[in-house]
Amino acid sequence: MHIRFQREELIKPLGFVAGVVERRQTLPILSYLLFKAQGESVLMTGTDLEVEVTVSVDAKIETAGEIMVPARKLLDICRALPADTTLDLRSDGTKAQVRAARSRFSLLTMPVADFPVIQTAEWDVTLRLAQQDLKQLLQETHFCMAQQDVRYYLNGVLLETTGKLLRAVATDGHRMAISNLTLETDLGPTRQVIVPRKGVHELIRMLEDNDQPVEVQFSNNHLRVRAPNLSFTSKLIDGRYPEYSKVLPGKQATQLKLPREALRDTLARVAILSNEKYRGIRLGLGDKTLRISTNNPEQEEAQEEMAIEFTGEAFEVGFNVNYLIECLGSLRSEEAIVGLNDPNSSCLIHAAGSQSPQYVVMPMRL
Amino acid sequence: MSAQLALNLRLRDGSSFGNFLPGRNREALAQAQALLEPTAASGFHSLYLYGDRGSGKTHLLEAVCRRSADTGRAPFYLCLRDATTLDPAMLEGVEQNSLVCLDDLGEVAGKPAWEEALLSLWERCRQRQGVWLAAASAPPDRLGLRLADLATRLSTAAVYALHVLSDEEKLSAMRLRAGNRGLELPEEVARYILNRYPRDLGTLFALLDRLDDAALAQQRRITVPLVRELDEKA
Repeated sequence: MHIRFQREELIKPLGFVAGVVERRQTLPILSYLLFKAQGESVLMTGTDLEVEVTVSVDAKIETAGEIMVPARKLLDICRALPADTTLDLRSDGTKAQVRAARSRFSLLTMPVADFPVIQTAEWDVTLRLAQQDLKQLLQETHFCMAQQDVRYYLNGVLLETTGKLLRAVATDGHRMAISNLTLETDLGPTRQVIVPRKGVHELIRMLEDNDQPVEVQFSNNHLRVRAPNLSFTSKLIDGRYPEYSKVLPGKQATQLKLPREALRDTLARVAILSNEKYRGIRLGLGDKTLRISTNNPEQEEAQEEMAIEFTGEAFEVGFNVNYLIECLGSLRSEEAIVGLNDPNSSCLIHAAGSQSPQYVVMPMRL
Repeated sequence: MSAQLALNLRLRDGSSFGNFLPGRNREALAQAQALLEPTAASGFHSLYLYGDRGSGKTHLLEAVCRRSADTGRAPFYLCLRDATTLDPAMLEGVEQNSLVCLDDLGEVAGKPAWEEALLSLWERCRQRQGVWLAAASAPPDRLGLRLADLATRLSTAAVYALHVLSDEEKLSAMRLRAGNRGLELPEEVARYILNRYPRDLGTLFALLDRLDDAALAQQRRITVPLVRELDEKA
């Protein structure tokens, strides 16, 4: 096999596939990328056995064929080369030869036949949507996923289809994000899959902010996303997702309409003096005033007030300030609606005039 | 400032046949499962289970009710421990349900109005060829029933004793129930609990509920220190 790439054409897609490759592998072959040169383009594939990504790159193919190349090293070489260099990759029996301008690299390779390809079953759900819509759905929810929770099913994003609705849900037990999207085709009865954390992060990284279509497919064990020049396959988390709809609060006694950015900035200022570990702040609702306050173990204090439309009985409720800041940061509207009931019930945050995304945040007892 | 509250995301792990660890109660479990088999011969079916607290009577009753509801037959379930606040007249028309489950039957022994009502319900159930399932702490003849007719009829049911699980079996049961909630209960933690808490499964499963909540709120694994902290707070 013998192919030539332009460094600029190669570096971004190479970053995508190499990103899937873990820094430490259980099997040596998982540190390699598979290059397949055929027709007009080269397909590069990287895998960690859970997530597999294939991208196609424009290249000049001198001789078609297949070869395995160490992912991290090739990426490092590519990055270290000067701009506008042409890379020349060829197989040479036991080695992969990379030449660029006056540089020569001779890299180890492995037998192509040993490369582990994820075996997928029949896809039983197929849907199409714009790249940016899928990306937004994941971006609005991913930060609420659990990290290494023993409840393994929380370490991912739930994707659910019901009729024409595609919904993403993520929760770590303290807060939850729900985001909805209306599809063009009706997909019938409810179907749920849980996409693992790594897959979600890689997808967000690879999807672009444009309205080019992507195809999303589920089977019982896998998710596949296909965009132009990109094919992404992830294993799914095998498990039942909790009944998230039960967690959504019903009618909330207090609905505050607040300027979103001003609220976020205020929280960020007050947060400076919150306990570094627990990040607790108090929201004190009084006559037409929202008082945001905190103190830390050194007894330093911060306090700020915002005007609100509130005339009910005064109460105070505590939150992890990071949770509130992240939710508000993910909304795009001018104004945010913050729904509260009492110091022990969850808070519901969404944009004024839109119920998607919705964030449910449980309070802290302060 | 550390008490982060958790969302109510607990996976429900209600009583079912699947999470009933049989131990020595395999035969009783098989009988309970057979009650609703579509292949069962037509006619009146009755099963009477007795055993000590924590032997799994209520679990099996609930499992049968659940199976019945899942297959589209609305069950009737009543725990007679609440009988003091209820009127026996409530049993009228209950035979319309194809399955009648009565838990803690012994609680109404010696109460003439209830005994009469039960006897009459039994007869109506039998006529309608329904399914009768009852549980109590002792076999029918040792319940202290005043109405000899009722005791005789209850004795004609298939009567099975349920045995409390051994400690090793309790350990497995706890780990099974934890697994169903998506939790991992390490053996050392299960042993720690078994050595320090009342050993009836009701108490142990209630503790599991609390551990589940605490682990979610604190985003921690289930460990001996977590159990200890929960204890100190209680």
